[in-house]
Amino acid sequence: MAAEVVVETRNLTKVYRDFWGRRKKVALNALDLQIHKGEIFGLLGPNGSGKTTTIKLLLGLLFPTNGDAFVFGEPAAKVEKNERIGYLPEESYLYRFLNAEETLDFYGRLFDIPSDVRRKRAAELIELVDLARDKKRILREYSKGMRQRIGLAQALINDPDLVILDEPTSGLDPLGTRWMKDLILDLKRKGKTVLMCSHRLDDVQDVCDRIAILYGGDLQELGAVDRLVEDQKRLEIRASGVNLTDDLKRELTAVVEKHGGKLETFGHPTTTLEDLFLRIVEESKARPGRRFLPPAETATATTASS
Amino acid sequence: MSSLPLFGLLILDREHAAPVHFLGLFQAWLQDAGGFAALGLLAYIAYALRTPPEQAESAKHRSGVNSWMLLMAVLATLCYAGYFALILTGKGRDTVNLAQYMQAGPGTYVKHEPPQFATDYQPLVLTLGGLFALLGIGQPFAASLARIRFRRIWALTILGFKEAVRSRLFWVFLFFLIPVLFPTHWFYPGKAEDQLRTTIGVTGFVSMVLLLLSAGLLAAFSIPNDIKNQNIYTVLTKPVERFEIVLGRFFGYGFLLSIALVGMTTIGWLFIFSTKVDESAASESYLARDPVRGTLEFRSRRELRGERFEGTNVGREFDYRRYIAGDPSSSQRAVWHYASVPSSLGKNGDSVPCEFTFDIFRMTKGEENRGVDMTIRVVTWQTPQIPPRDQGDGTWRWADPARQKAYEDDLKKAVEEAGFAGQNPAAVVAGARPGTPAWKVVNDLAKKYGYYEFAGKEVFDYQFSKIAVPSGIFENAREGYPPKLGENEPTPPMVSVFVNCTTRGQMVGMAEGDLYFLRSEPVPSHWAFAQNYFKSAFGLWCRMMLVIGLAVTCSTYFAGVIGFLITAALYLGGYFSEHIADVAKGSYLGGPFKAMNQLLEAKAPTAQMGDTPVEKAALTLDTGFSWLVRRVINLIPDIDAFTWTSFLSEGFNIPPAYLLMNLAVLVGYLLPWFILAFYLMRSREVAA
Ligand SMILES: Nc1ncnc2c1ncn2[C@@H]1O[C@H](COP(=O)(O)OP(=O)(O)OP(=O)(O)O)[C@@H](O)[C@H]1O
Ligand SMILES: [Mg+2]
Repeated sequence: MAAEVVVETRNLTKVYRDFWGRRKKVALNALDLQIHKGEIFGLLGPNGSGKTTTIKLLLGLLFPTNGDAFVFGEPAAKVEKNERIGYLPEESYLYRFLNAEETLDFYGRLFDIPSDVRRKRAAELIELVDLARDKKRILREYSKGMRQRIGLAQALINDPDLVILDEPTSGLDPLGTRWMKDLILDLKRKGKTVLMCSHRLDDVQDVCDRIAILYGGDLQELGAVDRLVEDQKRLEIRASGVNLTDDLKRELTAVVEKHGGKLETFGHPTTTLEDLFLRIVEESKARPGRRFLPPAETATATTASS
Repeated sequence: MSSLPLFGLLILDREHAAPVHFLGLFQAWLQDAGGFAALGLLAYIAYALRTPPEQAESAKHRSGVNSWMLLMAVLATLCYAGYFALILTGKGRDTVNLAQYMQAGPGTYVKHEPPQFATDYQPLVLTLGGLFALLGIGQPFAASLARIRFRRIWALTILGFKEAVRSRLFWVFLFFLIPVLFPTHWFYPGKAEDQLRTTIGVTGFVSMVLLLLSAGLLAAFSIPNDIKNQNIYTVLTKPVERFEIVLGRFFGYGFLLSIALVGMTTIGWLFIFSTKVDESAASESYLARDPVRGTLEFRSRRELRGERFEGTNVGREFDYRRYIAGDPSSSQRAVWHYASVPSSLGKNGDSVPCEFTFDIFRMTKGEENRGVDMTIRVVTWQTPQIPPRDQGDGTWRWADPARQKAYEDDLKKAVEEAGFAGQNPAAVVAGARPGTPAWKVVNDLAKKYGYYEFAGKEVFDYQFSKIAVPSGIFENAREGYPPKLGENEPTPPMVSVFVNCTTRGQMVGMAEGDLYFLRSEPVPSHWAFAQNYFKSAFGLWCRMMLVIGLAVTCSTYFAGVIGFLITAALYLGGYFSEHIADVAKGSYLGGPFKAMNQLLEAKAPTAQMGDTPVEKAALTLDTGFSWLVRRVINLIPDIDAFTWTSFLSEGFNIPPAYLLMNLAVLVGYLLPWFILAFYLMRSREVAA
C-alpha cells in the first residue's frame, strides 16, 4: 500500500471575489491531489496558474470557496498542523527590522521552543544557510539571495515534517541553486515531505519525484517525473546515409515492421521537462477546458485511500 | 464634560465608581455587553447555518456552531422573550435605576451615578439573557484563550516593541520636553495660586496627546501593515492562535507606551518638584485631601406645607450648582447628609476639619473685599431639626424642644464651670477653637447632644474655607443607629450638616462636592503630591490602554487610516458620553418621535403630549428609542471616568479604590471588543 498521505486536496476550488462578493478570478478549479510521505512534489505552471493559491489554501491563509484541503489528515484551517510545517514564502516576508539571529529566535518562540533548544537550532541553521558572518545585520540590508537563505532557515526552525517551498531557487545564484537542490534532496533523505513550486524546470526535473502541472487553475498533468518525460507516443529511429522523404518514411515503417535496415536506436526517447511543459501550455491554450484525467488505477487509489 | 476643569474648582458632577458599585456595574455590563453578544450570536449562527453542508470540514472548523452555543442562544432568546413579555405587561420594572431617569424633567441637571444592582424581574431577566449570550459567543473565544502560550505572546510583544524602537518612535516623546523646558507661565500668565494647576494641566495635556496619538496610530496601523507587507503569512503559518497576534500587539504597544508614560510622568514630576512654586499655589495644590462626602439636599420651611424646595436655579454652569438665598430670615438650607460615618472620623484629636467652597452670586453689590457670612450647623440623628414656623425668623428648631432646653441649660452650666463665668455662652461657643479650654466644653456638649453650630463664618467666592467640627459629634452619632421612621420612609442620616447664609441680598451656590469632612488635617507635602501625581497618571494609562485596545480591534478589519479614525471618533465621543446619555434619557426636549409628531402637527415643543393614540405611540416609541440609545451609547468609552487631573490640581487624594474600579471598567469595556476582534481575526482571509 502507498505511503501515508501527508497532503490531500479534494475538489479544492478558490474564487477570488471583490468587496461586494462578485467573482473576480477563478484561481483554482476543483483540484484533487495527494502527496505522500517522503516524496518531493513539484507544482508547475505558468505565472498566475494558481500555484501560490494552492499553497496558501493548504496553509490556511486562504479559505477554500469549495472543497477541502487536509494536511496530516487535519483540515487546513487548524492551527495545530503548523507545528509540523515549515513554509518558505514566495518572497521572504520577514520583519526587516530584525537581524538574522533575532528572526530565528522570534519564529522559534512562536513554536514555543524552549530557549536553549532555540538558541542551538538557530546557530545550526545560520551555519547551514551560510549567514554566520551576517547574522547581526538587520534584514533590510540583506540581498535577495540572503533573504531567501534566512527565509529557508526560518522555515526549518521547528524541524518540520512537511516543508512547503514557494519558488525556493528564485534569487539564488547558480551555486546557491545547486546548494538549495542538495538541501531539498537531503530533506527527502531525512524522511521529510517536500512540496515546492517553481518555474525553473531543470530544478524541478532534478529533484522532484512527482509533479503536477497547473494552467489557469486547472490541473493539466500529474505523475512521476521519469514517466512524464518518457514519451510513450513516439519512436525514435536513428539512421544514416539516407534522406528522410515520405517514401522513405513509409518504407521504413514497413521495413521496421518486418526486418532489415540498420537500426541504431530503438526505444522511448526522453524529452526535457521544458518540452513537455511548453507542449502542455500550448495545448491548454489551444483547447480551453482541457483537463487532466487520472488513469483508471490512480482514480481507484484515490477513492480507496479517502 | 469636565475635560478642562484645570482652572476651576473640582467639579464633581459624577459619582466615581467605588468597589461598592461593582455589583451594579457588573449587572449593567451583563445587560449591555450581553445585548451586543446576543446580536453577535444570532448573526454568527445565521451565518454558520447558511454555509452549505458540502463545504465541509474547513468551513465547519472556521465557523462551527457547537451545541453549547446553540443551547446558550436558545436560553438567551427565552430570556429576551420573557423580558419583552414583562415590558408589554408592565411588570417587574427596574425600580432602582429607572427612577433616576423618570424624575428628571426637561433641562434638569442629572448627577451621573453608577448603576445599582436591581432585583426586579425585568433587569434580572435581561441580565440573565445577557449572561447566556456572553457565555455562548464567548465559548470559542475562551477556548482559544486556553491555547494561548505566554512565550508566543511575549515574542509578539517584544516584536511590536522592537519595531517601534527601531523606527525611532521614542524621538516623538521629546516633544514632551517643550513645556518642561519653557515654564508654562510664559504662555499662560495667571494668578499666582494657579501656577501649579497650569503646569499640571499643560504637562498632563502634552503627555496625553503624545501618548494617545502614538497609541492610536501604532495600533491602528499594526495589523494592516503586517498584512500589507505580508509578514503575517510567515507568522500565521506558525502554530499561532490568530488572537495571539491581537494580544501581542496590544501588550507590545502597551508595554512600549507604558515606558514612555513612566518616563514622561517622572520627568514632569521632577520638573514640578524642582521649580519654585508660589507659596499660595503650593498650599492649595501640594495637598492630597481625603474627603468624606455626603449627599446634598435642599430644604426650607416649605416642607411644613408639604412642598419641596429644590434650591434655586440662577442659570449658570449647566445647573450644576443650586442656590440658597442669603438672609437671616430665610429658612433655606443646603443640607449634606451622611448615611454612615467612617469609624476613623474624629478618632484622633478632638476636632474634624470640615472644608467647603461655594459660588457666591451677588444680587446686590456687597462691600468690596468682604465675603458673605455663613452658618454651619452639624447635628446627628439623635438631634433632628425641623424648619421654623415663624416667617420672621429663619432659624431651624430642634424637633424635641425639651432636649433643646436641656442643651441650653447644660451649656450655661458648663461655660460657668469651665471658668467663663459672666460671659455669654453663645460667644464662648463661637470663640472656641481646638486646643482651647472652651473647645473642651464644646466638644463635651457635642458628644452629649449631637449638636454643634458655627455662626458667622466669612466665605469668599470660590475659595476654600474650613471650620473645625468637634469630634464629639461623631462619637454621638456612633452611639447607635437612627430608628426607622416608617414603612416607606428612608432611614434618617447619621450626621447632617445644615448650611445657610445670613448676609442679605446674596445667593450662595452649592453642589454636592462643595462641602466635606476631611479624614485628617491636610498638610502640604511633596510626598503626598507625588503619590497623587502618579495615581493620576494611572488614569492616563487606562485611557492609553483603552485606545490601544480599540485601535487594535479596528485594525483586525479596517485599513489603518479608517481604524484610526474610528478609534479617534469613539474616544472623542467619550468626552461627550454624558451629554449623549442625557439626550438618550430624554432629559432635554423629548425623543425624536415626539419631536416628529410635533413637527407634523405644528405644535410647540413644550406642549403636553399623551392624549391621542398617535401621541401615545410617539411616546412609546421614544421610550424604546431612548432604551436603544442608552444601550448603543455603551460603545462609547466613558473617558471622564479615567480623568483625575482635576483631583490632582485641586489637591484631592485619588482613592486607590477608584483606580481599582478604573481597571475593572477598562477590562469590562475592552473585553467585548476583544471578542469581536477574535471573530474578525478568525474570519479574515489574510492573503486575499
Ligand atoms: N488576492 C488576490 N485577489 C485576486 N486575485 C488574485 C489574488 N491572488 C492571486 N490572484 C489571482 O489568482 C490567480 C493565481 O494566482 P497565483 O498567485 O496562485 O499564481 P502562481 O501560479 O503562484 O503565479 P506565479 O508563478 O506568478 O507566482 C492569478 O490570476 C492571480 O491574478
Ligand atoms: Mg506564485
